[in-house]
Amino acid sequence: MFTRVWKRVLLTTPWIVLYAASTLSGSPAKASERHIDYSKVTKADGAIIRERSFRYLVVADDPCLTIQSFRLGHPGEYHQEKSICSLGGAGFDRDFALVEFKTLGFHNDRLNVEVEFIPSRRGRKAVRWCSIALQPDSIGDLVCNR
Amino acid sequence: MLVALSAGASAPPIDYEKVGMVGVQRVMGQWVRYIVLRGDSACVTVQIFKAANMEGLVRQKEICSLGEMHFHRDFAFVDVWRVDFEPNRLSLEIEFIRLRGSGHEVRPCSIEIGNGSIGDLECSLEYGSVYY
Repeated sequence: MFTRVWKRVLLTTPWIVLYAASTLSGSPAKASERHIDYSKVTKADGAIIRERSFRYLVVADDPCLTIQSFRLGHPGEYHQEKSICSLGGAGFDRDFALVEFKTLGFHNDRLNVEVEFIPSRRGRKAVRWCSIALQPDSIGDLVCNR
Repeated sequence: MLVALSAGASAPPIDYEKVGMVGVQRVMGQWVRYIVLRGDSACVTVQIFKAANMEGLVRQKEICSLGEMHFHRDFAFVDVWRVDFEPNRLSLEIEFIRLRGSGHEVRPCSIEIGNGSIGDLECSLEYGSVYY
């Protein structure tokens, strides 16, 4: 009985680890991997950049900024999706009291974002200008000026 | 596909997954959201909520026409370029391409926001002998 259970654990554990690693990795996520409550979108806009259509989404009760790309002429088909939930090693929901995406705008091949960071512990809130590079086959990380 | 029914029996469902332009701001003490879906000649939906997290829908209006002129039936193409919040209204910039005639026109438009009410689309556009 114990052997049978242990064998089952041995067979299933690598798959669980592999699944966890794939969901935690930084590679662009497929549209279905992270649930987005589209009925709570508070900010959205789109632009065509180098033969791809890009859209950003800010959703109420969601600390992340979501960027999606679509193939032109196929508005219902996601090409890539990336949820930006941290800056460097600091998680928006874990390491800040509030992160607010105040203004967003596409400019050339970037999405420029004005972000307000309110620290969870003592410290002053900071408004920083940030941007995300948008390429036909990749969505960059959030990079902020100091 | 995410489709949600809004308040009011006659209100059409919104396919929120197709949002193209969205903005939210507090107007006259209530949370107002505009939605323009991706696609040709998309309508403008305006909603009023009780809460900032888009819960407690008070009013919703889907605007697909300018007076008697329907976006899909009476124009070749209608495109919302910009939407801004003002203290008691939404101000919009909309491109209209007529079924007949020349070129396109970009017009300033507005939608009045009242206490729990959403007005009609008003634009400075002359169509035939009627001025909207």
